Amino acid sequence: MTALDERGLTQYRRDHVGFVFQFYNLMSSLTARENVQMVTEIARRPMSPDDPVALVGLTDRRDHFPAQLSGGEQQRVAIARAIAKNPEVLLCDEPTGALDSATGIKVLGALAEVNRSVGATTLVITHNAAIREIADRVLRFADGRIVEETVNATKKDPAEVSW
Amino acid sequence: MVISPLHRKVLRDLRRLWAHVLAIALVLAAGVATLILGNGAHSSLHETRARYYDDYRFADVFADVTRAPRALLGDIREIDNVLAAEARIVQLALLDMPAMAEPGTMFLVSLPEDGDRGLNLLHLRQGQLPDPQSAREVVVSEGFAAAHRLRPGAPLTVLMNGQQRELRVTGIALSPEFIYALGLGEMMPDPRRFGIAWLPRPALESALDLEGAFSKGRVLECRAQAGAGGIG
Repeated sequence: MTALDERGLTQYRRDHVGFVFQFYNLMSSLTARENVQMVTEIARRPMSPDDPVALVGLTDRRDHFPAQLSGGEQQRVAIARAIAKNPEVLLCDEPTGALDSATGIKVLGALAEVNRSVGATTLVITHNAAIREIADRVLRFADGRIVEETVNATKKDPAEVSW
Repeated sequence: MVISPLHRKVLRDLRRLWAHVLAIALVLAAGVATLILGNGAHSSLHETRARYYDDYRFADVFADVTRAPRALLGDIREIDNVLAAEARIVQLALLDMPAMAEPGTMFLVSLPEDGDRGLNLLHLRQGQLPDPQSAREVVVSEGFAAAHRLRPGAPLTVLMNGQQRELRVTGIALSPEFIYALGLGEMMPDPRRFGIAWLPRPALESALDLEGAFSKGRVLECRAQAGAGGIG
């Protein structure tokens, strides 16, 4: 991968990596389903657009625009969009950072569910230490390097986490 | 037909921003219209000018000489690619207008002798060309005529070669040669103080003592139209 040029890296991200951002980055003039469709149209082996939407529990909200959805729902649409391409790696950058704890837990539930059913390696970057309990493996970064590595023998269900 | 989400996004954005879209479209339309109008006007003016120069046989090459024998004209006509050549007399005269306190000048130019086959033909706006035998009849430039409210039949007094001469306007004309008529040493055209009068060659010859086989006039201009195009 280090040998790839800009174009090759873009292609790699498009085919293999899903991204979830702190502030969702949804297209405001497209519905939830259409936001997912954006990805399924260009991905190499995509899911049917309705499947990821169902996986994050938004089937009955799929024809709503982002402005008509709550923050947690929007983030779940973003997760659906990220997994629609069947990625091998799912990168989540502070996925609960903009959400209250109850909504954040729902989003984490969706992530855990996706991780189970799609099987993508899911990396969640967070400042929220409580979230580490739902992970298989926790890496703690400080000053640009890994300072601690923990493997959770038993990981918690997101519903049991609180902050 | 299934519309892709990106197209749908564009359509929805356009609908949402319809006022902006309309404003941009109007600006673009105005710009395009201005461009088309400007281009049209430019090419139209360009063609009109070319046509005017062509129709009135505006010469391509001008040469001023102090004095030259008329026989030289034959030599000039022999030069390759010279389609037509013409010798004229051009004389500066002082204006003597009763209503004008400031000094004014006038170019006296001999009329093309070959009629329609001459060069730098006049476009008559009013009246008629002078009688070729007349020593008093002249055609004046339109700007000058307008500035002095001259009409065909009006008298005109000039000082030519030290002599006062009473002339009579028979016509008012435009010439491709004097579209922007500047008097000697002037920065801007002033049709009140500078005009052009065309008169038959014999009238100028006699007034300036230029008769004979060799022109002894102060100015004899040889004007040639060169090149393959232009002369029909």
